[in-house]
Amino acid sequence: MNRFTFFWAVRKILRRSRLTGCMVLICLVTAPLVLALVFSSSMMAGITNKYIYLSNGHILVHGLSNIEPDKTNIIYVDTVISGSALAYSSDSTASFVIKGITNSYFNEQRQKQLTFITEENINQSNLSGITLSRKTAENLNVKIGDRIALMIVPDSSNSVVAPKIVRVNSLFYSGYDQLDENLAFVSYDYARTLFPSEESISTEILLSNSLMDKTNVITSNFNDNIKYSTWDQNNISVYQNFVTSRQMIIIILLLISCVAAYYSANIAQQMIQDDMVEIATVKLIGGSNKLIVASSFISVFTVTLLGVIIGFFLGLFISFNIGPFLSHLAESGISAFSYYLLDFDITIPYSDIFLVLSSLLIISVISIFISLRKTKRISPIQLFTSL
Amino acid sequence: MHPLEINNIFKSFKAVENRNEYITILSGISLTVETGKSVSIIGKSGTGKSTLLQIAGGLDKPTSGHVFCDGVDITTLNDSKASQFRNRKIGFIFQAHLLLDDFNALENVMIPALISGKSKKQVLDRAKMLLSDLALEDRMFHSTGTLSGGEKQRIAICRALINEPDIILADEPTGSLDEENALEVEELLLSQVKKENRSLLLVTHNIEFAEKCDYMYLLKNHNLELLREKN
Ligand SMILES: Nc1ncnc2c1ncn2[C@@H]1O[C@H](COP(=O)(O)OP(=O)(O)OP(=O)(O)O)[C@@H](O)[C@H]1O
Ligand SMILES: [Mg+2]
Repeated sequence: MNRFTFFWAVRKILRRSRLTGCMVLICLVTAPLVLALVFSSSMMAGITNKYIYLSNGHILVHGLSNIEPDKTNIIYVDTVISGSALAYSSDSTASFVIKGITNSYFNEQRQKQLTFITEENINQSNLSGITLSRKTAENLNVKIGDRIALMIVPDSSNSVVAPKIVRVNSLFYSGYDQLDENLAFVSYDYARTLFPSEESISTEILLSNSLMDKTNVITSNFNDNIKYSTWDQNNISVYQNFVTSRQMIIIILLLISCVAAYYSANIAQQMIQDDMVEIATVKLIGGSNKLIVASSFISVFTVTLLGVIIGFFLGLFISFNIGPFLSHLAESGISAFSYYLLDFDITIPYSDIFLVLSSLLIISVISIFISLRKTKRISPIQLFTSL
Repeated sequence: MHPLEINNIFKSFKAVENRNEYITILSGISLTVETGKSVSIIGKSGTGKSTLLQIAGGLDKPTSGHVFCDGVDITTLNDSKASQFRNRKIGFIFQAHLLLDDFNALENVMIPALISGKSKKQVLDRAKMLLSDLALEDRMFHSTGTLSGGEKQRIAICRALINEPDIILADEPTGSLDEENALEVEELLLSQVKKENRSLLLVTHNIEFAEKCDYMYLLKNHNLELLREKN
C-alpha cells in the first residue's frame, strides 16, 4: 500500500463536508436501528418473562410432582391450583384464570415482574380474599375492600355450580394489561375448595435464565409418566408472534441498512464526480488506478464505519436512557399505550445488532467498490482537453 | 541514450461520424531532446501540439512510431507500467496548475515522491529547496486555495521536478497568467531546468518564451520544422 493512499484518504475525511455529511447520516440511521432492535427485543423478552413468571413457569408439570429445586438449573418449584372463573361486581363482569398459590409463590423473581397495591387498614372480614389485577378491578369498577361474586367453571362433573363471594384484598399489575386481565390469585387452600379435582393441580417450575431456550436439558431427565409442557408450548401463539415479528423487524432493518449502504456508495460516486480533475492529475503524476480506488475506498468506508460505530453507541445510550421515559409513559395512563408493555428491562440483542450492522458494512463495501470502478475511465488525457 | 527520442510518429484520429474516415494529426514526426537542453514547439491551434506531448508522455499511443525515454520504448508499456514510468522519469506542467486542494504547497510538491514510495522525510529537504529556488519559501504551508495563479504554477513546477525526472513536458505553462507573472514563471522554469541540468519539451503560443529555448520548432502540416537553434 502506497504512503500517499492513506495520506490522501485522511485528508479527504478531514476536509470534505460530503464525507462528514455521510458520517452524520449513517450515524442517524444506525442509532434508530440499534434503538429499534434493543427496544423490540427488550419488549419481547419482557413480555415473554411476564408470561413465564406469571402464567406457567418455564415448565408446567401437570399434577403434583416430586421435582426439587437444585439451585443451579431448577430454581423454584411451586404447586398451584388453577381454574377458570367469572366475576361479577354490581356494575360489570369479567372472566379470568384463578390461581391458588402458597406463600412462597411470589419469590424474588416473580416479585420483579409485578407490583402489588395493598391498603393498610381495610376492615377485618370472614370472606376469603382475592388479588385482582388493577385492570380487572378497573373493568369491574371495584377497589380494595369491595366484594365480588365468583362463578366457578367446575373442574369435574360432580361439583355444584354456586356463586362464591370473595373480597378484593389487594391488586397487582405487571405493566402488561393483556396478561394481567386474565389472572387473579387466591390462597392455595381456598383454591382447593373451589377446584377440588386433582386435574386442577399443577407444578410450575422456574429455571435459571440461561436455560430459557434449552428446557429440554431438564425435561429429558423427566420420567415417562410425567406430563408437562414448556413455556413456548403453553404460549404458542405469543411465542410464534414473537418469532415472526422478530424476523420481520430484522428483515426491515436489513432493508434499511441496505439503503444506508447504498447511500455511502452514492457518496463515493459523487466524490469521484467532484474529484475528476484531481484523480486525472494523480494518474498523470504516476498514481495507479489501484491507489485511487484504495484511497477513495478508505475515505468513504472509514466515515461509514465511524458513522456506524458512533450510531451504535448513540443507540445504546438512548436505549439505556429511554427506560425512565417509558415508565413515565406507562404510568401516565394514556389508553393508547395500555396494551403495550412499557416497563421492561433493557437487554441488548448483540447478535441481532451485529447481524444488521455487519450486513450494512458488507453491503456498503460491495457497493462502494462497484461505484469506484468508474475511476478506471478517468484518464490524464482529459487534462489536456477539458480545461 | 537521450531523455526523449521521438521516432517517426504518426497519429490519426477516427472522424467521429464515419468509421472509415481518419484525420491525420501527426505524420512522421521525429525529435530528440538531449540532456540539459530545452526544446520549444509553437504552432497554430489544433495542429496537434498537445497530441504530440501526450504521446511523448506515454499518455496516448501513436498510430505508429516509437517514443524512447531514457532508452525505454514507452509506447509498449501497459497503463500501470506507464504510470510508474511517468512518476519517475517525466514531469508535467499544464496551463492549469492542477494542484490538489486537500494539501498545502509543500505537500503538493511532495506527492509524486510519496507515490513513488519515498517517505516524507526523504523528500522534505528537496521539496523545500525547490520551493525556495522558485521564490516560495514563505508560501510552503499555505493551502493552495489562497495562492495566486503565478504562485500555483511555480508550485506545479516544483512538483514536476521533485522526482528528478529526465524530461519535463510543459503544455502552455504560462497560458493562464498575466504578462508579468508569465515572464517570472518562464524565467524560473528555464533557470531551474538549467540549474538541475534537466531537459524540457515546451509547447507555447508565446514566441518570446519559445525563443528562450535551445531549439525552437514549428508544428505545421502535421510535421515539425526547426525555426531556430541557439548556439
Ligand atoms: N481523442 C481525439 N479524437 C478526435 N480528435 C482529436 C482527439 N484529440 C485531439 N483531436 C484533434 O486533434 C487535433 C489536435 O489537437 P491538439 O489538442 O493536439 O491541438 P493543439 O495544437 O494542442 O491546439 P491548442 O494550441 O489549441 O492547444 C484537433 O483538431 C483535435 O480536435
Ligand atoms: Mg493544446
